[in-house]
Amino acid sequence: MRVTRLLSLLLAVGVVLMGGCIDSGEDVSSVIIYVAHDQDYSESILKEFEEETGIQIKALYDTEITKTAGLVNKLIAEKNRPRADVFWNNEVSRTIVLKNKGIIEPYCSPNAVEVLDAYKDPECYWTGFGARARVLIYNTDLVAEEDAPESILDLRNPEWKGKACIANPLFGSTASHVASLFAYWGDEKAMEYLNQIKDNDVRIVESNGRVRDLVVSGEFYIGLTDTDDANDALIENKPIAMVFPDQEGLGTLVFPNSVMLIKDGPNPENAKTLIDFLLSKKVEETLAYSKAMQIPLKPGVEHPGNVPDVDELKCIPVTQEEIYNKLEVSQRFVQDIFIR
Amino acid sequence: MHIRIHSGLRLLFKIVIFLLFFVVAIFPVLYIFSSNLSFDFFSVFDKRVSSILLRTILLGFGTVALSLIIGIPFAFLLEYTNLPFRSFFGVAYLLPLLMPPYINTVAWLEFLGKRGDVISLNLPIDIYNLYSVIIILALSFFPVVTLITSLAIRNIDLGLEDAARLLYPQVGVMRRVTIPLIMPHILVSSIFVFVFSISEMGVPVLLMVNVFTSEVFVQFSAFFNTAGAVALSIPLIVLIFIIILLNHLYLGGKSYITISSFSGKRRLIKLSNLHRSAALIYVLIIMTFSVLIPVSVLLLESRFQFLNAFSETLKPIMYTFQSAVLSATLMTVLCFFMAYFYRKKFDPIILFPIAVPGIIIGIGIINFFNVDATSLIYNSTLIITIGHMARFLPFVTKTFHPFFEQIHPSLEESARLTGSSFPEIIQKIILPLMKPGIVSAWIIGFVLSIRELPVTLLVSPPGIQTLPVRIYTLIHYNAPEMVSSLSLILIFLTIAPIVLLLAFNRLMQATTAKK
Repeated sequence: MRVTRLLSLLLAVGVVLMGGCIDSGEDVSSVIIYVAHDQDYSESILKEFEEETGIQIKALYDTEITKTAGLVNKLIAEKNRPRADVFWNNEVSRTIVLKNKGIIEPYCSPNAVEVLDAYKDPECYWTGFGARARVLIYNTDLVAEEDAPESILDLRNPEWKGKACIANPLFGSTASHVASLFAYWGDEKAMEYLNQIKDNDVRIVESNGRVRDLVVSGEFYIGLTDTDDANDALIENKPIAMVFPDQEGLGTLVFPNSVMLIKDGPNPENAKTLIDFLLSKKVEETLAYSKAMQIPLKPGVEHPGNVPDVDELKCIPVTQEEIYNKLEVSQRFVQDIFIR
Repeated sequence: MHIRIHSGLRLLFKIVIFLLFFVVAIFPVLYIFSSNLSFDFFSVFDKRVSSILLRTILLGFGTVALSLIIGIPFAFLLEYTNLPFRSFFGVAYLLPLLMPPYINTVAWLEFLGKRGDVISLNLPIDIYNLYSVIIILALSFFPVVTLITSLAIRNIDLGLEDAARLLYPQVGVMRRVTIPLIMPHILVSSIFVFVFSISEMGVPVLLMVNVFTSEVFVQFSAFFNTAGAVALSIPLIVLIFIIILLNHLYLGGKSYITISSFSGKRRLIKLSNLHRSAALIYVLIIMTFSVLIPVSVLLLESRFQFLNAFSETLKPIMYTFQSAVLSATLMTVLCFFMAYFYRKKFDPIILFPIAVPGIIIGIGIINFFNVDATSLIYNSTLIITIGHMARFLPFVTKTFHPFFEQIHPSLEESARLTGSSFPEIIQKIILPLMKPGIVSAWIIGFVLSIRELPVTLLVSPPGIQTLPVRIYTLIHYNAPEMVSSLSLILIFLTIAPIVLLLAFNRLMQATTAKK
């Protein structure tokens, strides 16, 4: 009977494939890292670690569709039996979520000593390296340099009505930026500001990358995004320019990558070696010269001219914990007025 | 004695099937619901959320309506008329289903908007709205309607139609015999389309339309609030159950059993030249919008770089293909027996995961399978297959139901009376009659698995990345060449095995016919 033969064939295929799925379990020294930082930049750094130490990297990368919260959710779900050793987050707010949920444990890396206090946890739960900043971008075909916005307060101005876009402020660095305004100004003033930009028809788009694309294409004149997203377009000579906002006023948000040790992970010793490696000056230098143009947080790290010195940048004077503490109230407010 | 051993084996087999199904598809979801169910429901459900819910329901019904409008005439033209190039369109209509809707959306945004580098009409129309979402989803999902409808038409006993033809003209035959017989299938396909469209997140996100799935997603990704996400998914579950209940009520008391024991060739209606051209134009327009335009845009935007893309992404391509074939195969076998043994007995429970957002299923799988006993599975790519099964087993089971309904119990009873064993009954009676059912179940399982995103993302073990995940990552980097190339590769990967399967199927039919 031919149908039976077809079905047995299917079954045989299934069994063979199933066998192929299960690892034969070679006993190579390895370390498992979850990476929220963009894969295209981080992969080569992790390869270098493999070559230098002989420790095999098993990496899991996040994607934009989960707003880089997929791995945080996975880490939370795996709490009872952690599978990861190290988490390389691309910001700090969600790192503090993990700290509060008891998913990470302190590790004071010798390479963390030189990092500025503002960019590491006092108890060594996490350490920052290679920071990004929030920036304004404008389309240079549509906006002259002297008319370019210099402050996020300009998003309220009538001249940009309907011509400005920001990424969904519920997620990622935009959420942290908004929360930092709540922390610095207080709830009332921050809410007033958000209502004003809403009345000025600032469009909410899917991601910071999309902000860049829409300003590049001229669908919007100006936008608020991250340094790495903006730099992608600058490298390709797209018609945009980047401004570090509020250098005369409240300052902009500078937010580092953060690396941390997962509590009860399977390979704790290799995990520490990897954390030390990621916190080395060499990695910060690589990140500074990469397309992500990340700002070094340790003194004396070489960086290209388009990457500013961290002490020359005026930053919003709030701590990462203060930003985190304002995150929920600011997200609730933002959801209420923008996501309808 | 002989018979008793067989019935004992049959019972054991029946229990094993039941357990497998429940461990994979039901327990993880039930687990996360029971451990996170709170009465905190009204704190997440306010006026804002209800307006988004309303929009989502509108999206679901709109997509179903448009899919039926496109899909049913298509099926009738294919099965009943001498449509030009009929055998070509009989396969080609499946193409839109094989193209992930989020990829079509990217192509349309490049084509109509300013997103594209190579071709871009740059039209002054606003495509960022609900209607665009409905149109794109219906153009992607109408083949579900056409597929299920035409398989159902093919399964109708020709004798019934012939008998009716003695009494009524062709239109009357359609109205009194054909349509009532295929109605259950059309309803099943509508439920599929409804569920697909309201659980779709990529398309609304790209078109900046807020829908309910993204609200559930926000509970996870912005607030890390599993209980909130679980609470928010309840309205969708209730809604889908109401629809399924209505379906049952509609079908209640009517019998749709057909003894499909002899098959022949349906005599095609010869259309006049004018009608033939009109039918051809109709089919061509639909194919142009659902396939030709998106694929051409992708081809041009890829700048024909797919060989490069292929070699750079070989590993994800392998994983994706392997796990989708495995998931589809396991689901087909499991659901075949599930539907055979239990028919619709466990329908409410089986259908429960249909309405649960993928991200919740993913978290449930992690909680349930990340234990020492199953660590071998959890640390391997098998967990991706388990994830796909957890999400799609109900769909595949549901595909089988109408096909089993068409087999009259008397066929089996008489076989049993003449002393046929359980394996013999399956082999000699059920399997041959179920061939179209098996083929469509496998195709549905495969297509759903190969493009799956939310569960795959959460359960993938370190070092493993599937092709859809890679594509989504690249959309973020605005790498249109790679995105378009990989999208074309994904479409090809989806099409190739299905074409092979259908060709194999046809070959078998041909050889059987010769005998």
